[in-house]
Amino acid sequence: MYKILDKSIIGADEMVLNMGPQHPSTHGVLRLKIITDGEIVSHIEPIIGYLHRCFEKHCENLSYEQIVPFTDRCDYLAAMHMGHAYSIAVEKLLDIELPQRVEYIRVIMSEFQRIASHLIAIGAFGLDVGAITPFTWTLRDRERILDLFEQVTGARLLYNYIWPGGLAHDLPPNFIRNSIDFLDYFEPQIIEYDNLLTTNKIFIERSADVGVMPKEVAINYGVTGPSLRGSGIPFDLRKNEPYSIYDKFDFDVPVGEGKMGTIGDSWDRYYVRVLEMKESIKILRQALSQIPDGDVQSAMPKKIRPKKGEVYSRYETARGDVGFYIRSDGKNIPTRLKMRSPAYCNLSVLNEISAGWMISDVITILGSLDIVLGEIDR
Amino acid sequence: MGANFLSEYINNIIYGVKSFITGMGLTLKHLRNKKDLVATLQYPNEKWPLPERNIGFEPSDYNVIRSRLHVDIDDCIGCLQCEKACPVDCIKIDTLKPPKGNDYDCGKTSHDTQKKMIVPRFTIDMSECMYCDLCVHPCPEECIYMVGGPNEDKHEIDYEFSQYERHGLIFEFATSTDEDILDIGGETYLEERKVKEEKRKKGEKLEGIVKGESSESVDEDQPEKEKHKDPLLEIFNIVPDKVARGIAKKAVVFGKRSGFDFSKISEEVEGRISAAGKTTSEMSTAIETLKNYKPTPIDIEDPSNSKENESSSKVEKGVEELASKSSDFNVKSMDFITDKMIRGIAKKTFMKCKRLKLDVNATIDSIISDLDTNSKLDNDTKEKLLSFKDIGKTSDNLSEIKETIKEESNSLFDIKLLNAIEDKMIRGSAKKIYMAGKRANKSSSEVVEDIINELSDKMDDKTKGLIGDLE
Amino acid sequence: MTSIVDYLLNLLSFIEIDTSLLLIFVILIPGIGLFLVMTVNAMVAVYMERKVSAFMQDRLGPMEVGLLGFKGGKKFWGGIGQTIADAIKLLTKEDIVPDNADKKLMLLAPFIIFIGAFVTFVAIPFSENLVVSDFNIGIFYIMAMSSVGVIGIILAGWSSNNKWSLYGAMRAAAQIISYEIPIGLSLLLVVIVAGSLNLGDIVQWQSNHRWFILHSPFTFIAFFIYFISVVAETNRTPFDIPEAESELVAGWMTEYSGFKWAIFFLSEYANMLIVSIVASIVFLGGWLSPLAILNIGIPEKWMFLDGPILGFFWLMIKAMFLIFVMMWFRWTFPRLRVDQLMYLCWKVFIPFALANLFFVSIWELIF
Repeated sequence: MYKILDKSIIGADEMVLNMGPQHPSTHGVLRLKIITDGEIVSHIEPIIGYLHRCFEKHCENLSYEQIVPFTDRCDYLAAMHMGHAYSIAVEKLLDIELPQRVEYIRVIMSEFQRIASHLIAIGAFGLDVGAITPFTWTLRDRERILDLFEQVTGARLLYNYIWPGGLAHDLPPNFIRNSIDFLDYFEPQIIEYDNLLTTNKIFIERSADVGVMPKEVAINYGVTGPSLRGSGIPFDLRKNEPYSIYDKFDFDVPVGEGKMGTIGDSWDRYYVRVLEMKESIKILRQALSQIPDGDVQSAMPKKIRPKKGEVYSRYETARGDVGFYIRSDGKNIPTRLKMRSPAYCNLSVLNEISAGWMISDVITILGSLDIVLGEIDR
Repeated sequence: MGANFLSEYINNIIYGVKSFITGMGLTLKHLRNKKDLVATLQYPNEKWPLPERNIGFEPSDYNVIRSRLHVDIDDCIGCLQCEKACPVDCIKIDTLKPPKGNDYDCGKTSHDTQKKMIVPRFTIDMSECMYCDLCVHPCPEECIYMVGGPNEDKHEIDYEFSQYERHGLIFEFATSTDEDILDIGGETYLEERKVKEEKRKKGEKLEGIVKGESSESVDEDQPEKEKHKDPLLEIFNIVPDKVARGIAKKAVVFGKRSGFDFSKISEEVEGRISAAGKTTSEMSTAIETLKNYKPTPIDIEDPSNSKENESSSKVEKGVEELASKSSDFNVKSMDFITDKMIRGIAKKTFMKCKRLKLDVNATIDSIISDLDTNSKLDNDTKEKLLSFKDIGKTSDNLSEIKETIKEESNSLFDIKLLNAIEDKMIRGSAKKIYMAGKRANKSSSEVVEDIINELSDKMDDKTKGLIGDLE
Repeated sequence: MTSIVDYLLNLLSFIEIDTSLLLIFVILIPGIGLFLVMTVNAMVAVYMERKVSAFMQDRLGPMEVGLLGFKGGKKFWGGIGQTIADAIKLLTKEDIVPDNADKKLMLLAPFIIFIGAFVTFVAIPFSENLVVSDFNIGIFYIMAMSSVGVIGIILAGWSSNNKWSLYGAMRAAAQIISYEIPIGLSLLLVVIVAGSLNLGDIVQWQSNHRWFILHSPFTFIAFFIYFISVVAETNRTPFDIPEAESELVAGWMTEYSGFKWAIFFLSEYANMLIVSIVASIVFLGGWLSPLAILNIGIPEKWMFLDGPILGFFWLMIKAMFLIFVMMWFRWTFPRLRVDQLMYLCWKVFIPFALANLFFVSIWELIF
């Protein structure tokens, strides 16, 4: 931490710096207005809205099945999570019970998507700090996951696969073998990333003790996801309020412990993501060995026309806690749909934890919070 | 303390050097093993294989590949499921059904389903398509699908279909010729299509205002001018003398701008005309009409409609407008009340009465009573409201006129009046009977008789009374 | 050793003009030669950087643009002509100058940096008699002239009228000036042992004794301090905070485009070459072949590997290896923050360098 100079003593002026919407390091079109004293930041104001596409208003004119491709496009780096969260919300409205095979496949897809999203988070964090090579390596591994997705759904980034009431279609015959091959290939790669980036002295210098987020600040601002767990709070929706079949699997919830600095610094948030990838591999191995047979589309209703009512359902995506609020009036289009986006609340804490650090640190902190502008602006 | 600091310092340096060496060793390993680890695909020479064709589904032509959409138009039965399913509305389909007498054979699909209509227009705009695959699933004949995989042999291009111009991405799949459309009895469709095509072509040229065609534009403007003519000024059109007409109209405009009411305007006109020495009988009639003239909220089609009409519905309309013209009592009449609360109550009551189709006097009475119960009535308001009542007397004349007109022509009542029936089923049947009667050119009483005969057992007394009223 | 200029003067002495006038003509030839060296070096270094970085990142680098019959495409050597294509493109690019920027200073800055690099080349010997001008204060001159570049950087940052460029320029000023000190101290070490500032004399000493890097453990440490400090001097990762790509877009070079940027680029690679050559001359034996590392007796058959022409190639190989190591650093490590950079310089390198100096003197006294 650096002390912010008292203006009255020196008579120096503040400088207003604009990290504009186009910048190599803000993960998307985010505009940051930084008020600094030399290199030391005293106040940050994020300005969002450059990617607003009127998702919620648009959904008031689309039927329930037609909304699924649009949920994909909100958080385009973790599209399966969004589709899954939305489907769970609609199924709560409709009161359907799903066959076991559908649940298992959905969990497998979600966990793969979690690994893919964390790989980008790790790579992009390294890129922000200056290490360019780990970014290309993580992206190469992510491409393999996207190949698996391509075999199942035909698309690599925006799938439109998890529909309310079931799935679009079943898995291809070789999928399980391919995914186990991938998992065997991927576990040593995490060790490689650790060697190159996580334990690198320069990286530790850059990120440890930087942007410490104490527990109270995290809870007050509504931060969720790995950023919250990096501050030492073991809250994970998959364990605390289990949805789908997550209570059948045996996995831990990694929590930041301040190994290289204080609890809740950027290194902790980063390391929680690395550990979460390992936990996801555990879940995947268990799920892949236990898939039952069944018909994937047996519970899908012909026309989705829920009764009058409203529902709010929560789901743990790679970035945090997404919530879908749907209100229906008995028609086949929702009357109101709202999405609570986790990255929006995570971004709001930026001002609090970056006061007193340098501009380079602002970028480090932003990278460790892992935001996606598509989700923030919707 | 110093020793601790020094040892920490040295430890930091040693740890740093060790981590650097591990990191550098890793990068060197990647450099040396480049042949195995390189992840680049040299695109035009090596292409990424598309996902497996058969995903364990019947039929074997089904694929998950996302690429260009294609339609086997001979299989399309025109059910419009794909059009409804598309979230971005990039599919546009027109269907034509042969009418009852026509026995055009639309053909059979490859799954042996008899087609009941032809599809003269099936356009997919691939530049809007978001490749979500939602249109492929609902098709009952599996005629819309994405190219690639098992059906690759049938097509030349699959996912590399970039075009140089934007409209090159609009794919038209329909193959019906004009003769087919005419055979099936779709002349109106062809004409509409022609009109649309011409409009589009004209719009494409974007010529703007063309100077050489000014006379044409004047001609075109005139019918519009007529539409926007002020009805007040129209009254004076019966005067043959142009100069007198001009003076009178100028006086009217002056009066309107000064905010006179109608009697004062007519006095103004009289004054000016007599000063100019142009008083004639037509002029006096016109001035009388002006004196009694009441502005209407109805729009500008009044002049054209107040002229002679033969068709019964138009007479009906004209009568209704005449009624409203002379009654001059509508919601805006309440605006003289300055207090917002009272005005609100008055207007609410007015709307309620209007919905119940009470006549003017009853409306005014109810407004007065409502204001009274809320103890918001003061004398000025009451008087003004009562003054509106006087006008209501003319409505009695009007209802007589209405009756006579009705008896003179065998006009049918408007189908919309049947909307008063609350029950959906009965309303539907009543409307069907009405349409049948209309086609057979029955009179209104006969139609009502038919309705009552058909549906008497289903209707309750209230509905019967309603229908009786229509007569 | 004689220098090129002397040689040429002798060659052309038959022309009956005053020596100083002849000098002006004679200077042009090595001048053009040096310029060619700089450009060729830039092209080769850029290509090497792109390929090395690509292989370290599991990708392929430029593959399509071929040169003189080496067709691009699938084979490993595809893409050789890419640098030339890029150079031509840079020459034809539009020169955008921001509205409120100081035009004259903006034009001046790249040339100052270029001059700094160019002038330093004058004192560098490429082989035994292949030096443009034989200074007897060689090392001192080189250190002095390579510091001229800082002025150019500060001018560039200031005249761009851009807050981000200013940041980059300020950081660069602090960084470059601070890292001069460990460089100076390490080189001082070598001068103490060898006894002369002249580069030719230093290589002579190494051919008589042994390569400096293996002379004593302290010179070994001095080599590393010197090498890491020059990485900081030339603004390469992990010390590229002035032109930090992910924070400041391109730092002090942001507002430059086209030919001016090409000059910056050229000077950066020229700087890299200078410091690598100096490092290999001073620590790694210069133009001596690797067979003479420890200066043990070599059989007659192998003696032909030592010589003025082959010496050039040995020097280039060593310099290229050091440039490769610089690139290796760049693609492995994240970058340091400004204050950590300063910490490293003042609290780690300078104490070590001073301690080194002290211990080396003792070593020399004893051994």
